[in-house]
Amino acid sequence: MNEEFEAVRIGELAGLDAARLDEMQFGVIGLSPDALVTVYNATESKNAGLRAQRVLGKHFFEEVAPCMNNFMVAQRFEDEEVLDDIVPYVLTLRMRPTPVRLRLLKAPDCATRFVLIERKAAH
Amino acid sequence: MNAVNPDTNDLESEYEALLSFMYLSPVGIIRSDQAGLVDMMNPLAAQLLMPLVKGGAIENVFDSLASVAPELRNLAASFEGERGAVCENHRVFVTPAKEGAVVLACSIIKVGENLLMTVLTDISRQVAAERRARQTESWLAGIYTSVNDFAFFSLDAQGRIESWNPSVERLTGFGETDVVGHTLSCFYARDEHVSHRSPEHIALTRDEGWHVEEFWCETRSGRRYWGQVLVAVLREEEGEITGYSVVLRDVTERKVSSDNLARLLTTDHLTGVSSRAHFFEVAESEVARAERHGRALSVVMLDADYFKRINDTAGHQAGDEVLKRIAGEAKGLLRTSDTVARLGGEEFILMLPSATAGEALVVAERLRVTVERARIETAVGQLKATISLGVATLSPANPTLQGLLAAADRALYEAKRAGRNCVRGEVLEPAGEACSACEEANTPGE
Repeated sequence: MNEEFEAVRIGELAGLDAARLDEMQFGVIGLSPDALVTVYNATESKNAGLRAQRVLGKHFFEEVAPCMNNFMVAQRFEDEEVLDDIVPYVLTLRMRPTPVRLRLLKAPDCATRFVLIERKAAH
Repeated sequence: MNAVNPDTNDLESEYEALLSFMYLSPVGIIRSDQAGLVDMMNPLAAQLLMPLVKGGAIENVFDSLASVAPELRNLAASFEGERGAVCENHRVFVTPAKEGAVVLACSIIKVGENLLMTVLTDISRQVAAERRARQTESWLAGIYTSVNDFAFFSLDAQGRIESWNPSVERLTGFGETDVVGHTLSCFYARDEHVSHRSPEHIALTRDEGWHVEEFWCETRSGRRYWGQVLVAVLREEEGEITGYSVVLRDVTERKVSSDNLARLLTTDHLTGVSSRAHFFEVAESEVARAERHGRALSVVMLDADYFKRINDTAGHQAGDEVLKRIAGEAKGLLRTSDTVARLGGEEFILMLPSATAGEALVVAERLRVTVERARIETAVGQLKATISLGVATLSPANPTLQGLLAAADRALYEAKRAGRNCVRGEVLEPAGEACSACEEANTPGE
């Protein structure tokens, strides 16, 4: 399978175990249908400075990343049945403004929705 | 103490807890140097600024806000104290819409020699509430002044007029059969495209118990008047609202919205011309007025050429002098009924009521030449500057303020693309001797 940021498929992500997800070079966040965090890989944990144990089980848009609780991210998961889109975004990982690309993934046959986060340029 | 996490004694956990605290902060916080270069910011700050920047990079807080609040850079630069508040809850009007406007409050604190802390808060809801409160206030004030001309009647649960009395006919000219069973929209002026408004009055009244709004009305014989309507809940039966009372007044004389405008920051700090917020306030009513009287209305959008280069080579203060001069020359050329406003950054707009496209092109060309000839005195010596200008006129193709501004923006872009220091415009009529520089733009129907 192709594990590149732009290419990896939602079904493949859902099938990977935590160790394989941790090896990904980009942030992987998995959400249940009610937006509770079920997957939080090591890359994302390192970039955001938050340990998985602090984040898992929390409401992603309310308790973890309210900065994505808007029409560009949260609303799209609400509105769209099938979602595979890449959006440019600015995150403030550790309070440093960082241009990133978000890939939003949602499919009817997959219980987990994914937000993939790729930092545009390495510091 | 540490309800979130039981093992928060080590430094790493403390750090993580602080990060989480900042991630969840409901106000935007930015740390920058005096020039606005961002050092740290929290997610909400990024979320508030992101819609304002093209390309998504937020490197400088003043650059990011320049399109909507160009005065902030100047406020910070001209702050002379060692430390203290540069501005407190300064209002930034992000979108011009009268309803549903996005408004930010911006406070900047100078913490040290080259360190600014900026706090951004989304106050759109508060501003909307204030707007309603102002209407209420003006209503109450008005009630004591002229109560000669008012109509009183009632609505059923669906908002249809159910009672009529002579006061309705005295004010509106409509008889009982004209209005009973109709909604409030039967009083609206014909060109008020507000079919959604009547249900909105009712919805807002349901939520708040009463509601005041103003709009153009027309009497049966076609006389226009600025009407103020108060809708209040009249009856409730078993928790259900079953009727409303309405007072409709002719407040045309008070319509001169001076009190409304005086509350806004009407002037751009740096250049002394109208501020962006003031411009939109004026422009909306100018467009309405032009439509009402079938009069021409043109705008000229203009932009200083290579302004970034001026700033980079001569410094921000010299750049400011250039902006002041452009604004000054524009003011000098215009009539009192015209408006000059700074839209943001190095972008200005002239609004020319009653001016046709041809006349606006003449004004634009005259300003272009005046600026080109100006020798601008700055601390680093004499500078020259040029501007590019785009002209647009209210027409069936651009019937709204938004359409007009978009057309002017396109024309300005054309002028930039044509090599700058020139005028372009979408012209429907031959401009005659308007200006030689814009002949290419004079293709009819463009």
